[in-house]
Amino acid sequence: MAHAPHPLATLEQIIKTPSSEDGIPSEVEADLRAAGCMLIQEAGVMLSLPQSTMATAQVIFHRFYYVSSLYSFGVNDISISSLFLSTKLCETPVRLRDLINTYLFLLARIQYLLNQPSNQPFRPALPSSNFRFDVPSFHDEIFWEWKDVITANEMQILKRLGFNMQVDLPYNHMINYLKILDLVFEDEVAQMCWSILNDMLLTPMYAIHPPHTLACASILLSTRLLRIPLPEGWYILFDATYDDTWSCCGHVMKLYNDWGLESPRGSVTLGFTMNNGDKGQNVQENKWRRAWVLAQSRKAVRRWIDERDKGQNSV
Amino acid sequence: MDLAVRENSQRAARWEKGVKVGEGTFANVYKGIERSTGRKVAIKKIKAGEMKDGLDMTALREVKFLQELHHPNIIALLDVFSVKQNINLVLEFLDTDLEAVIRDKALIFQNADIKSWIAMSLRGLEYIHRNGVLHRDLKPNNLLIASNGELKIADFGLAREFGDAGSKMTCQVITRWYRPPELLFGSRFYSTAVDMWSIGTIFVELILRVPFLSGETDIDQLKKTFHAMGTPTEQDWPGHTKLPDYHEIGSYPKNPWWNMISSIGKEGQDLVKDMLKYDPVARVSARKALEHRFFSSYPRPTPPASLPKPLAELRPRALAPDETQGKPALKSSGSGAMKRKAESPQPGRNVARKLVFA
Repeated sequence: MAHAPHPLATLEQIIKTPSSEDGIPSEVEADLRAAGCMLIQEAGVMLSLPQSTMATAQVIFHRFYYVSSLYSFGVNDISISSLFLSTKLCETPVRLRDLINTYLFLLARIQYLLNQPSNQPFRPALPSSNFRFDVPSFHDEIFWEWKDVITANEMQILKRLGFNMQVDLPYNHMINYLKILDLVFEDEVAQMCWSILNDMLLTPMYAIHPPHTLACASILLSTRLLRIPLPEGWYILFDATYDDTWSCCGHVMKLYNDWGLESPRGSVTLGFTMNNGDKGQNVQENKWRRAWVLAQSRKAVRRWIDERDKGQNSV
Repeated sequence: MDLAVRENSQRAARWEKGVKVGEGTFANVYKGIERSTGRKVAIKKIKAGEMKDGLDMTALREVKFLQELHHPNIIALLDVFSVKQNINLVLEFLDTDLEAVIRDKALIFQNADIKSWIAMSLRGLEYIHRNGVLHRDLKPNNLLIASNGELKIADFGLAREFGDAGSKMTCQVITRWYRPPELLFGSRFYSTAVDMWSIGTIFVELILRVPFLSGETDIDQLKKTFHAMGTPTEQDWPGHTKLPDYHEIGSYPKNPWWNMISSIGKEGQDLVKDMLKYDPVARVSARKALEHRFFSSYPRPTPPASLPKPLAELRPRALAPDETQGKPALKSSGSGAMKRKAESPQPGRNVARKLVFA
């Protein structure tokens, strides 16, 4: 059993993802991947897990949807299960109850936003608003329901990934490369690279490119944004190619653009840092709404496909 | 049936499960054969019923580390597949283990034999440590012996990476008799030295043919350790009185305890002393141990094929008391995080019970 230490999706898997075979447009798939990963990231922050645990969970999440379809596995279910699996893999155990309560809180907050009239801009769930969340009681059915979902999906993830759980993250590569490039004490560079790598977790890049390419991409993008010149072809030193690094950067910039996120300072939060633009905001909000609705379950995805096929795609 | 499911069932079909040969807390072990070649394998089935919070962490660790580690002195993981909710690990089949060899009184060990077993253990361990992994459960029982006499380290259920120097780890690891004093004193920051202590005690056990330090409780283990080798002073082991669970454990005199293993010879005694240093920092590393004169001096280690082997067939046997009671409770940093019943929130990790935004 010769395993690559860090498995990547094959070209065929990237071109024809299982979800696209089931008639899910690539744009919707990308949105749902981002929505699922944001949940992982937010839940991880609330549970004060280390970034490596959250990153591992998101990489596993992305890999999963290269071998399985959104038509068969709901995003929220897989995202909570991959986070649970990764807390075990990274030796940072959490209590299942804490994890479930965190998810219930995040899902309740999303529901609060979804319940707002769609023709008005989002009003975030601030203390001043009427958003309220009660932690379910100790013996509440909902806990056992989620527990069953998590255990079943955890096994599905392992089975479908062939029990292959090695995840090599680019963070340490990035720091090492910055040292070699003598950028490590440059203001903001390391922080910005770190943020870009975190944001890149929302794109499928971690399942497509090896960690050193991702590290180079974060350095390339941050030095461009900060207008720091680097010698020509510097990435060759780190075995990365021009095309791959630029492609990663492109995906990240597209992410910022599509979701209306601010430039990469600090990490992503659930959509509250949206550009105060004109009509762009509405488009972005509808994108959020669609992703959140479809992330709820595979049933939601199936319903959406049915409705679209009937020609009333209005979600 | 989609691709992933098909692949899994194809893999499951490669192996045929035979009779049960062992039973542990979390897994049953079966004999099996590869259908295409007739090669003997061992199939370790992780019990699904035991799963409290999803898949057991020991099973995950075992799969994760065995997939990464490939070495002649480490058990080879041939395949993993699942049937319903069970995970099955296909491992290379090994005839017996070092414990059975030690217990078989019909066998007589030459010094060269002991040297050979210790050398093979150290080679495997050096590879494990070089790859940034701690085994944390070395004991004769987990050192398996192949039919050609090769020794292989098995059971990575408690293993973990130690790359991150500042990370807190649980001290509830390693079967008690092979557990170093720093863990018994509750040290949360430790390293490869813990495995070296285990090898040291196994080394002595090979010479004496009985477990060297067989404590009945953790305190008793410390007592036995200090009784045998003397209570450590601040000079032997700087800072040990500051460890979290430090207790005064009587003051035993230092005797030349190594006289009881004089049969192994001067170099051997020397290496054992290096492995059983109280101060983990001063304890010899696997790499340095392999360079020790013991291995280059006469007699040369016995070739694996000529090592003594018990004649009896491997069959289900009683497990050490630690194992029947379950593996030591695992509480990594979050302490108690694996236990579902602990209801009160833990200090330092407060998830609000109720969030009201009114």
